[in-house]
Amino acid sequence: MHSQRSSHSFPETEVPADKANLLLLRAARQRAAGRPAGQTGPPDYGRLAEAFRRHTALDEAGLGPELARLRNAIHRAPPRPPTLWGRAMAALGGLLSPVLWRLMRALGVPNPFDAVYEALLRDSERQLAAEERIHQELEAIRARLEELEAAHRNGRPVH
Amino acid sequence: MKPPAVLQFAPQLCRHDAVGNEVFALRTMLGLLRIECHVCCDHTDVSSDWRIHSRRRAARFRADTSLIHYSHGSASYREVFSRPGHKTLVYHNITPPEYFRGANRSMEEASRRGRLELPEYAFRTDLALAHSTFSARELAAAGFRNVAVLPYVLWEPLYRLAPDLSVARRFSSDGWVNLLTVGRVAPHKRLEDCLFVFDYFKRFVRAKSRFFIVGHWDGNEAYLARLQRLVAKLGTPDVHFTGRVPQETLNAFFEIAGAFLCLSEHEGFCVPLVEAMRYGVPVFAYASTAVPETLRGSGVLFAEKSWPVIAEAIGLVLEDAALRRQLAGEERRAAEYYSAGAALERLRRCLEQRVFGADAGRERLPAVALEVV
Repeated sequence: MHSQRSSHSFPETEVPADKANLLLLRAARQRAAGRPAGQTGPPDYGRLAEAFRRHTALDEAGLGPELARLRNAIHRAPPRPPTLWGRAMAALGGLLSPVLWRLMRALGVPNPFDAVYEALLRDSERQLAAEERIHQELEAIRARLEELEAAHRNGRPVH
Repeated sequence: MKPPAVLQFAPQLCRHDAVGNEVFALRTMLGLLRIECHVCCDHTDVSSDWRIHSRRRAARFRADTSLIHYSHGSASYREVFSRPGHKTLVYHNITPPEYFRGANRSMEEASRRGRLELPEYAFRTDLALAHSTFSARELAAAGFRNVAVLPYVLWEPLYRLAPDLSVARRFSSDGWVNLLTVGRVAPHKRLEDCLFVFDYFKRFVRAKSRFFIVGHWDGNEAYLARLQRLVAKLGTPDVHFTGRVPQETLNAFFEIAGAFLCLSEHEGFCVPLVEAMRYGVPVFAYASTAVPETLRGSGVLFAEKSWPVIAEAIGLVLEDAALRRQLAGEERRAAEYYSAGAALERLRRCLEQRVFGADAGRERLPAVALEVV
């Protein structure tokens, strides 16, 4: 049954953002502008957000997601088929998983994935920090070269 | 004449999951309309007394229509859509795969596959239901011809559960402000932005404040690890990742919350927003995708993510009792649109006009009066 009734035009139900709460937002902006800046001000959230995205993107090339998943593997039994066998496995998993978890905690056995994953995260962060340092040094060299060129063109001595 | 019957299918049915909850809500409502309903799936974590059948058994059930819940790619859809009979696709929207890049390869793949295969089912679907006009436009763009908007149906019994008193005992009436966000810990929710807002809020607006991130992180453990490192880097105390919580605990968190924060970049509907609206918790949300539509004019919307401005706006609302009451009132009024009574009437009309309407000999579906919750 294919109805001929076409529903391709949908009413615009979206409320334009900021319209209803314009005054509140204006007051919020004013307050934010009046807060201290610099050392006593907020951290550079923009830079932190950018770094967060770069770190997450780096996970794509590594084993991070898999290790992180394994780290939590015994916390919860996955969904099973709604069959007799599936239900039996779910019941077994439900019984064993907390026992295993408690046993490991009682014995003080550290989750081996924790250490590996932490090392991986530290490595990726170190790599990004090194990239940023190299980038900054290259920028400084470029700026110095431009300065030397300008001085040479003007016939001024360079220090 | 045989009574009307509906079959519902979703590849995965889980407790405390948006798809699972809607399947059970629809089953209850169909029961009220005296429509027989069978539920089938491939995988589930609910117990056998919930009467869930495997996909293989679906062929045994007679159905006037099959409600096929679509939220990601799955091999079983090919088989389900190739069956004869009337088929209704219930579109829960699919988070774009880009958001899972670097976080979860299988989710990225399921999302890509879901979006890629969606147009294939357009010609095998008799009716497509979307939870928002935002999602309806996506369906129309994918080639679906008979598209209707049927907002998400909330499962009422969940909200009648008594809130967990231990949460209130621990976190309320102590002069602290509780900020809340609810939903799975996943990259498209942009919880890092929420953390920046909370960090600013705690530094400059209200030092005595906590931030609860309520939701599971299954499959997104790498994203969780990144968020936890960000919290450590910012040095923000009082951030609580609660993980999966029982409904009683979730209800308690809504009761103690001073403000609800949602900076998600992709939502096909956003159930937690409606939950916050029902509880009258002031909502502060980023106006992306279907978020403004879900809020129906209530809450505070931001067109851009300026973390300090969002934090200051929360502070201003919390300082002003009259403004807080006004926002709560608007939200509760807007939430009535999603009440059980209104949802049941919408479902009845939709089925009568678009599914059973074709069968002229059939009796009209009963009009059921429900108290507006």
